[in-house]
Amino acid sequence: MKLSLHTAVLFFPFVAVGLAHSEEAEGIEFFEEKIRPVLVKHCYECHSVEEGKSKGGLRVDSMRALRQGGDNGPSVVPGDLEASLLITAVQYHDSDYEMPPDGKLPDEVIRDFERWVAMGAPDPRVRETATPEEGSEIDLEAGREFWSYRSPKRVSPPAIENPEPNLSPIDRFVIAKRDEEGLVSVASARPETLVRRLYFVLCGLPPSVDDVMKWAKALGPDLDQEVLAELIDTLLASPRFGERWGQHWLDVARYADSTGGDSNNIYPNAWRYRDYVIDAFNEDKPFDRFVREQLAGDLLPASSEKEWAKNVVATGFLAVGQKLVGEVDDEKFQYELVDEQIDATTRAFLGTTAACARCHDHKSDPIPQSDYYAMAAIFRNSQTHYGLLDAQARQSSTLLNLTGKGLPSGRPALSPEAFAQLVAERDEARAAMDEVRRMIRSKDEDVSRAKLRRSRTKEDRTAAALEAYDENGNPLTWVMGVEDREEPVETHLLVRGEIDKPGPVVEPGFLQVIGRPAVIGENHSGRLELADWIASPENPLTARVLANRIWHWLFGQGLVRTVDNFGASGELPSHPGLLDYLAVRVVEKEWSVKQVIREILLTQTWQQASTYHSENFERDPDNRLLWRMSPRRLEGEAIRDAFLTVSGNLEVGKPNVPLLDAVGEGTVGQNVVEPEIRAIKSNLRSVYLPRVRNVLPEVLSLFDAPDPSGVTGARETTTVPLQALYTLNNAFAREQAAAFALQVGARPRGEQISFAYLKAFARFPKDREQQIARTFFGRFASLEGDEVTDALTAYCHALLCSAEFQVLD
Amino acid sequence: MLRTSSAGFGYLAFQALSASARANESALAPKATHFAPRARRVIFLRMRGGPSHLDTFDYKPRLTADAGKNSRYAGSSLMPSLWDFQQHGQSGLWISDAFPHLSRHADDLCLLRGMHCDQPNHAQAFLQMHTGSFQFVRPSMGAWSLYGLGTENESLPGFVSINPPTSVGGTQNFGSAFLPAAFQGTRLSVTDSSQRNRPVDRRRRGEENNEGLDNLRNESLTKAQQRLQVDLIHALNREKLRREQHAPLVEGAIESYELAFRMQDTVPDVMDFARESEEALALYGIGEENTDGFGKQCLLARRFAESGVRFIELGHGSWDQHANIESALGENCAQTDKPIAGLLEDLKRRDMLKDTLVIWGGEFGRTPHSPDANGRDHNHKGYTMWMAGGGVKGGYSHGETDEHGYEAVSGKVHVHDWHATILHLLGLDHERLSYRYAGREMKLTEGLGSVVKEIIT
Repeated sequence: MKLSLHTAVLFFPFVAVGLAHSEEAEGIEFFEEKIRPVLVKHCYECHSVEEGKSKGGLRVDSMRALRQGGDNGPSVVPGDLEASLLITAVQYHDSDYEMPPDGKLPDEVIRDFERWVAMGAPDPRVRETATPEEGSEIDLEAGREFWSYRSPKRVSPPAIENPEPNLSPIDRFVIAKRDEEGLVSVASARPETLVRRLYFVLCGLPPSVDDVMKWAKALGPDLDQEVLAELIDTLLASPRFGERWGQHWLDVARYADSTGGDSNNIYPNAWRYRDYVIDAFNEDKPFDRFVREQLAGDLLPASSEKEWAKNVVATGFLAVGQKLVGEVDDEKFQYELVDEQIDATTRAFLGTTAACARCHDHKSDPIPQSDYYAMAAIFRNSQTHYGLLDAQARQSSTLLNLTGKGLPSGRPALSPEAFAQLVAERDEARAAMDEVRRMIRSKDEDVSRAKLRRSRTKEDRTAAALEAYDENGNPLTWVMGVEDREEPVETHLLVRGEIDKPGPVVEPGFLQVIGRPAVIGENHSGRLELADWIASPENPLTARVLANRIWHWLFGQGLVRTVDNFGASGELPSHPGLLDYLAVRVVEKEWSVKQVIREILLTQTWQQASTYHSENFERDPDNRLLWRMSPRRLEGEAIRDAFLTVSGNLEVGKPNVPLLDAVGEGTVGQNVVEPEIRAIKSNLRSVYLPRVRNVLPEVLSLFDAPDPSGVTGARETTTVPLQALYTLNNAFAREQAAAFALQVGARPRGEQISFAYLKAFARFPKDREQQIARTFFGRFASLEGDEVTDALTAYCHALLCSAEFQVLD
Repeated sequence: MLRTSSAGFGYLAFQALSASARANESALAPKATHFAPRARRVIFLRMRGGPSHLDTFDYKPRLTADAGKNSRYAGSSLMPSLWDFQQHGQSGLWISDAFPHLSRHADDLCLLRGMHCDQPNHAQAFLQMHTGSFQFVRPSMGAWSLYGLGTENESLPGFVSINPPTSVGGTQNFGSAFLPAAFQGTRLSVTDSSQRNRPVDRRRRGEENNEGLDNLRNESLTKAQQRLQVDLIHALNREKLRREQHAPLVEGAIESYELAFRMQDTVPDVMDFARESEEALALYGIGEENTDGFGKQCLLARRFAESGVRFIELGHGSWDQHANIESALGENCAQTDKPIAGLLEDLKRRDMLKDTLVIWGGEFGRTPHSPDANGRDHNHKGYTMWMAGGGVKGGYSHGETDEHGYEAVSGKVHVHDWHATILHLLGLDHERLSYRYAGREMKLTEGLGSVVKEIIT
């Protein structure tokens, strides 16, 4: 397809792309008289928002859309007739591009179009710069008085009457508040309860029988604090800690292995970010550093290429969110992408719902709409790399190639045969697609859209499979993440959030109500400065939000229970002084998550029993005043991992190959089928299971793992019969029960029940419970049954179904 | 000392316990409505893909007269309905010949011929139809209904969705989003062999091999053994409860294990048609090649409705006839016509139609014009859905599209209005049925819809 050189240029010697003011007015008049009516009459039906169509990915109903063009490239390139496909199409010179399809336009109309493009294609259809209807009425000074925007102050714990010795400052805050409200403390937990609680809270796994015996004995009824510190340090040093706490952060980071949304595409390389998070918690990476890496790792100074590459992987935080990759309009998609990044960033690190200020000033917090667009300006200056096959996603993107920078490849090298096989598959798919293209061109045969898409997908998929390796079959390292754009883009405030109502230009910046004002270097995107601003000890929210998250993960509820919302529509802290104390400690301990955890665990408050107390309960049913440890249902991950632990089937460590590689790339429901995702079996820990949005592993979705559409710092806990059906009947549950029973059965008969209780509940059975077991065995024996099912398996299975197994006291 | 006596004890113990647990805890307990309900339950016949209103329920003589003329959009011409329309019943509603059985129930139908929604794409329109939003993850209308009403049967889930598609938003379409998970729909599979999908298509949608509900059968234990096992679980839980005096998590576990145990019988029981008469099966077209699949879904819907399930959704499709509209739409109608008519007839015979709201429709309709006189494109600006029973006027038509059927021009009903009306018929005020989430009072309609009062008896 090549244009014959057209004479239009000769008719109009003033090929000026930039027009002076009067010329601009003339040009627009020309557009209104000659161009717009033709576009409306002949093109809008198939290429406009109004009609909801964009054949060939093209819309012609705004300047932006027309210049962006469709699948075949830009429709209009101002001043360039040859590059403007619109001109090619209306000229009817190329049989592949003839528009409108129902007949050639009159020659004078075609000449109008040529003249218009030559003039620089003046088009007023976005120039109508909108002005915000009213100025912001937000009073930032007054807004800064809100509790969470004031800097945390180191407060001395209040004085309390008759203090016991060895109380920590944390205990003093808690006891003072309890005394004030006339509540009493319950006793400390029993040593074996505390051992089980510690194992689950820190590592997400039950202790072994030997561990329970050893540590409970060493702790003694008085809970020897030195022994306890030793146990805490042991567990904090275990690689299992990062898998547990990494999952906590992955909930916050709305981590998933697919885009979700309207066209759910697999992210084959998201796992690198997941592993980065797990490693970060295991290494006790200072949290301020963790913030910087996730938001601007690519821009941080690094002492080696490897360090830099790891930092880039961290920016996967900005890339793994939900996306509507079926969106036709590129610019709209970019705004949605950036909106998702603003939402995740502000809620995860600042407990702030800045994304509410997209269409208007924030309704409850002092965040003017312009602040939202100031942050948007930062993210719009970055490019997000998340991959995806072209044929499967209108909005695909590239990945970053970090091969040879010292990152683990994550996949084994291919044998020459396997490599040749991939080449053959790619060539075959390419040949098939070439044939389809030929058929389309020749118009001899009809090619259905389905066939076209299938062939394109296959071509893309086989090419992508091959692109994962170099020519020797060694795996390449493809990474999701962000980098700054080479050229900055302008960001306008969008009136009512509408993309076709751009208001004034907004400079990159932060949320004015929080911390110090933005200082962004010349030619900087502002992302590094944003990261520094969030990670600064002066930011009043970051350390507070983190301290509260840690509290939530240790106690099951935060001092502010709306862990992702510290704004006016969130909750006030139950213990403001304590929260401030903890925020200050976070900074004093150089943002060490492990050190803060350690300090909290070594308090009387955390070591309380979960005992019910009727008077306390009457006054404070939600346990806001921390008069006991609230019992909590284990998360789906911990329940599954506990099943695998008691059965002895748990495989520790990371997957050798990403588990999702088994299903390949593409759209779920199109060329990636849900049952194949569900068929992926693994005895690895749950954190490593594929997290395909809308197709979460059954056990996890039944037990309330969030569908990662947004930041989820606090999970729901539901109790529904489908969970019971799963634990009673699912093959996974029955297999683990059988393996558990085999181990129990190997013990001397008299010890079996005790052993089973220690393994499942980390305690010895009481006499009544021994009696319950004996009665069960007696009755079971009297029933007719399948010979393969023995009473011991049925019994052990019941233990795993009991509330005690799934609840942490 | 354990007092287990085969089958009886666990159940009695459960009743004693659940009575108190329910009083405090159960989110599913029946609730008072805002005002007197007209419908006690909903059966939603979900026609995925966007069925053509112009070939079914929206009679356009002008479209026929102008056939072949240029449409208001260049490059395509007006395409007449390929079916003739007749007036039916006392009311004289116009219905196309594609629905010969359903036509006999014209006087039960309330046509909403001025429907419109915000998006012409399948996924977004389908999500908006189910959740009110095509952008955000929001609870489905079934979840909102159950949240507002509570359940009538403690042995069955209160909201079931039969064969929901895994594409076009997937589980969100029957999900509970931020509402407690107890309100989410329970997905059930029914093999619909009448739809000529190749097995690979069914597998893609995850509909293969799992009839009914997952994890409903235990392959290791006999029923008596499992009863004993569940009683053992109850006994272990009661020991914990006894020690702790107050433990909602443990009480909840006892309640849900007992319901789960019972669902193993009740769900297959509802799904077992053995005691339905030959005549009843024939009424739904069960046993006939073309109608067997959807007939089973419709009969199942009636059985769930009888059992106290609040919201039952079942489906057919795709109705996305860009091409081959004559054969494809004809086939869709042939497969669903008799089953739907059978459902209405059966509900009437059982005097259930008066308080069962039956709804038919898809995510949008189709264009009056066609590029090649072979199919129609998406049209979200005007299309038809219908309701029957549950307090709506029968033999009634509300709203109109223009003379060709491009867009709704009078009696317009947006999806938000449609949601508001459904909740209203259930006795719920869409402005008051709210749930606090992310610092806001969230609602199905976001306060945007209004009840279509004209269609209510």
